[in-house]
Amino acid sequence: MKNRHGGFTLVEVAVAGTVLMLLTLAAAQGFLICNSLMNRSSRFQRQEQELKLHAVREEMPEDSRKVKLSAGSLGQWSVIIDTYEMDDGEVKVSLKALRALSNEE
Amino acid sequence: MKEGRGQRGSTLGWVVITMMVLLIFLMAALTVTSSVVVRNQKNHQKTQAELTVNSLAQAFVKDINKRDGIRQVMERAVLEGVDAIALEGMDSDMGEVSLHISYEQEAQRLYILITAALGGVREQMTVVVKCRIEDDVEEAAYRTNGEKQEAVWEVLDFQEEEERLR
Repeated sequence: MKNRHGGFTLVEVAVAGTVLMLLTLAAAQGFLICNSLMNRSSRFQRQEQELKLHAVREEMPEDSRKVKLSAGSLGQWSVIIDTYEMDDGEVKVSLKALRALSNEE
Repeated sequence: MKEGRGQRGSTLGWVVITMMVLLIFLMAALTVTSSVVVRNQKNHQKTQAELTVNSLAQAFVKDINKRDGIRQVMERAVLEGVDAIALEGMDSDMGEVSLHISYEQEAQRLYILITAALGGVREQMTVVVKCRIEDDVEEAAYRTNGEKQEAVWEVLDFQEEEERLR
């Protein structure tokens, strides 16, 4: 069955329409992914800045553990590694800092 | 030839052009997003490397006058003529940490260049310490109020990027 004006069959129009719709959906999905990634990136940056401040001010870390750093045959040095973490469900940021042992530790 | 709406295939042509433009926009958006994500990753590595170097320098300064630990490592390195020390035992996501040391006997200055390398990022800081390191430990000790004391090491300076040791 030929269309009198465009010269396409109904099947051709249906296939072209479906392909067009799928391409449009894929493009929309692509833009949504870009948008979501940009949002996550900006949240990541904000959280990272906040965590850096926590670490610099030596605020209470999420985790602390004592480690022995080895300098080979020259000896060892005991320090604390503090882990600062921030997790809002979607974006998780973590920074680590060294700290000298206090007398109690 | 007559141009316009009635031309055969013109609708398809417009649709194809629209899709191409849409695809170009999408590719541009994906490129920008990808570069933002990569830049974020690099920034995070830089922040962690900075934090590693700064916190290590601070811990170093706090422990510099303790009998063992980093001070002992420094003394042995100077006496044995070692100028590069790799510190092992650090978490891998804190970067690889190395210390390059240089001791000026006459000026009694110890220059310690702390380097943290994480991914493609390198952060450095130099700590300058006034100290006296000698073969004979007894020589390095002195008496105060009748009691023998370890010679006190004094931190003179923190410098980000020290050219003389590179």
